[in-house]
Amino acid sequence: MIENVSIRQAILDDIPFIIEAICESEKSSSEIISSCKVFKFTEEKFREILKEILAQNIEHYDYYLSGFLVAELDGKPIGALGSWLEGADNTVSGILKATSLFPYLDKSSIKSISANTKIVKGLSFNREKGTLQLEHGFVVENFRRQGVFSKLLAENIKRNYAKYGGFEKVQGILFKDNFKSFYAHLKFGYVVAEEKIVDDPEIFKFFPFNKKVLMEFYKDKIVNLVK
Amino acid sequence: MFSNTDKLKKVFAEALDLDFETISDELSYGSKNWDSIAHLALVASIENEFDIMLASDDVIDMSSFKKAKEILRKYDIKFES
Repeated sequence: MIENVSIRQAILDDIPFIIEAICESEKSSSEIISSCKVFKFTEEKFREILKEILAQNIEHYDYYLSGFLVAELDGKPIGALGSWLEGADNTVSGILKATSLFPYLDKSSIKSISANTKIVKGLSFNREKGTLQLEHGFVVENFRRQGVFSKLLAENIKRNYAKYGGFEKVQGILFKDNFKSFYAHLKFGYVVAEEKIVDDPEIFKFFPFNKKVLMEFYKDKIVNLVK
Repeated sequence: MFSNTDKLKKVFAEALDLDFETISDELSYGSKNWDSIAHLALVASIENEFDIMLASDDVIDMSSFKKAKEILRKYDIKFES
């Protein structure tokens, strides 16, 4: 365990590190960024887009800057984890994400993007309204397996529980074959609520792996954590 | 001549890869094939079919077929019911 790690909310100056967190979490220890493959962005373009979107700080979905907590050691960021409450203010995170990316899409490629959906939808989960979503977790390599990710999970749950006056469960969607992340969630107390597998080899054009899990962390554990 | 309702149903059916007959007011985001990626295709197809440019707030609000008709009425597109 590393001592003296402080946790704080992300600010505008953290955007480069949050972009790193989003890209690395999408890569899941591979070289494939799914969003780039599906929406036909280069990684460089995707990073530019994220820079603009994060600066807008729009609530209730994946790219909400203030929803990220940053773990800091000696004044330097060593980890981050994003959060939002699904369905808050009657929004839908998937629609917010689509809306934020829409202006950057090459409209002439929409048809082929649409064709991609037929393959990638096999690994898509519905997020439950009223649940806390924790995603885009990332810890700098030298600081992994030292409790930083667990600290980010716990602090994120505590702060959001206070902010929203409670919630029934926490959800996270990840690749099952991203073993480090999968076992870190299990160790924390998450359970696998649903698993999806796509056997079509075309899936590897878009994702690094073909198995995704919806993991959940339930009320009894949440209550123990926030005591 | 297609009615606007039928034109919109056709757009939904193609974007979400569903049968035309299954498109109804009850169809909403999260059901059947309607996910975030399909939403992008849907918005692009609606803009193309009706020759409009949707405001961001309307793209966010478009969470069902019924809601889509309500939103398009703001762009002077008429529906029977």
